[in-house]
Amino acid sequence: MALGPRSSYPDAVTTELHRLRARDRAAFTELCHAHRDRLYGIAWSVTRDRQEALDVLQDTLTSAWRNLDQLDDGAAIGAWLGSIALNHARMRLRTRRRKPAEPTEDIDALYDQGGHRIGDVARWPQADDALERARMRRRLEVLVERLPDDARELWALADVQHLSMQEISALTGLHVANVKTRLHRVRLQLREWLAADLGVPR
Amino acid sequence: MMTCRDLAEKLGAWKAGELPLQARALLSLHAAWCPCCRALMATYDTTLTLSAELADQRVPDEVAAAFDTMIDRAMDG
Repeated sequence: MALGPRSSYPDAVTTELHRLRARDRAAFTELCHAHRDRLYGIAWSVTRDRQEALDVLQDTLTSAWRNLDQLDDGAAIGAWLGSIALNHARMRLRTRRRKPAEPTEDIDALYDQGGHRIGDVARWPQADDALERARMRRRLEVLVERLPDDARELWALADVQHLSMQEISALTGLHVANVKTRLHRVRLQLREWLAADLGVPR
Repeated sequence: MMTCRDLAEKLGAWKAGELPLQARALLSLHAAWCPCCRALMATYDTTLTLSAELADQRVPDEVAAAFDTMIDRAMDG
């Protein structure tokens, strides 16, 4: 039995851990297959580039094989693999020439002393129309490039890849509460930018 | 009494179902009479939906087909 993301059988986990630490090729192959989609998802969500995601996936498998002797907790193997993928994706981002992140807005400045919103906030054009919706998605893809890497990463893992707050915490080393707070501010920021981009009161 | 700023700050926790009943009730009351906050909530949701629609989590066919080769490459250095 491979150590899939939801494996919950302690004996099987221990057995698989021993096999992996002994560099059992069949066990490693099973492990990789069990986590393939999730690892590719992390790589693609962070790099937003299919070829780079493939490179990250290969680098992840290579690093995992080389470092199997570091495995000491079979139950946390998914987080371990995910962390390797995330680190490789981060390295790819660092080497990719990106425009510098734009300063994020001070969300607090959008409210007066009494906590009331300054100016109007309007609903957006109904995006039922497929073309309009596709246009909004393209705009969002452009706007997320303005985010600092760490903020963009949180957004990608949570809102695109749909990892849980606990999973993101395990991958990034941030406390769950910190992940939630930062992620919410990123979402508010993207909403502000998207509203401004759409040209509606925000 | 909740303000627009309170609602914006607590919106994430509210949507995640992490707020106590009283806080939820106060936020609902504020949203009921504040069109700005209702618009903010609706467009916040749209932002999340658009983000989710960007997902392309399907593993490309070429990866699926070559995955065993990638694993072998990893093991054989």
